[in-house]
Amino acid sequence: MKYDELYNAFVKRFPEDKEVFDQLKLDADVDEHEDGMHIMFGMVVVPYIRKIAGENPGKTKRAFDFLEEMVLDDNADIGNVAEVSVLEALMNDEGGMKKYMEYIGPESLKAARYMSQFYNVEPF
Amino acid sequence: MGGGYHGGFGGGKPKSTDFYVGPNGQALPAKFKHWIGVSRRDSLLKRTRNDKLKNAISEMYRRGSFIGDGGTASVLKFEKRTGTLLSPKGHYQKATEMKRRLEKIISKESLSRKDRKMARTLSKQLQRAILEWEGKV
Repeated sequence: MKYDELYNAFVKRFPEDKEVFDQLKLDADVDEHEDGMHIMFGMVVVPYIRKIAGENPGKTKRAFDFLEEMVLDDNADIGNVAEVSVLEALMNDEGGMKKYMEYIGPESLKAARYMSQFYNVEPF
Repeated sequence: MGGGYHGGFGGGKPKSTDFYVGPNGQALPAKFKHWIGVSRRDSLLKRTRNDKLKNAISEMYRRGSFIGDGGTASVLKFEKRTGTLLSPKGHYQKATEMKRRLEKIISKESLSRKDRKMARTLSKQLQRAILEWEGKV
């Protein structure tokens, strides 16, 4: 994976939802060519995961599989986006990480549990 | 800050304290007790009108954050000064991207005077934390 192409790589895993991503980008007024990957994942991917989590278990699993790949990537900056801008955001949501436990990969879970000690979030 | 509770682990009388619970109920290892603060998230969001600025504030100030004022700038300072990263690789990269995002909002959005002032203040706070992280101040 290449850092600057992370957002597009994620979107490619959900070709059926291209219009959803375009709308989320419009809503947040962000662009992968101008804004960094922390911004793209924090402001587009996180709202997308929140949306699909209650609707489509298959897509939710695909999203968390991608996050796991990011966490395991040799380039630590790539894992950092998954950890700081996605997992950290989701654990701070109402209800926390519990609703994602059946989808989250082992390394993502390890990273999320480490981070959770610094936030007032529900234990998971 | 302060006014919290010291506690220890293990049986018998502990010889030293291991953790500190702040007045807001948050716990950190005792050596970090001065970093437990009150988040400015709600107060900042309440005072902000512009939706994009609100969105940026939500990204910087996580709901459950309690390090310093709860924002990314405080987190980055904590990581630099204590050597303890809140995530495996820390918040430097996010801080630089959030600063760029704030600059974009300041230059492109039609902000009220109060929102503009707030965006500039948040940007400066991030800039100071970034420079400190880079060892430039």
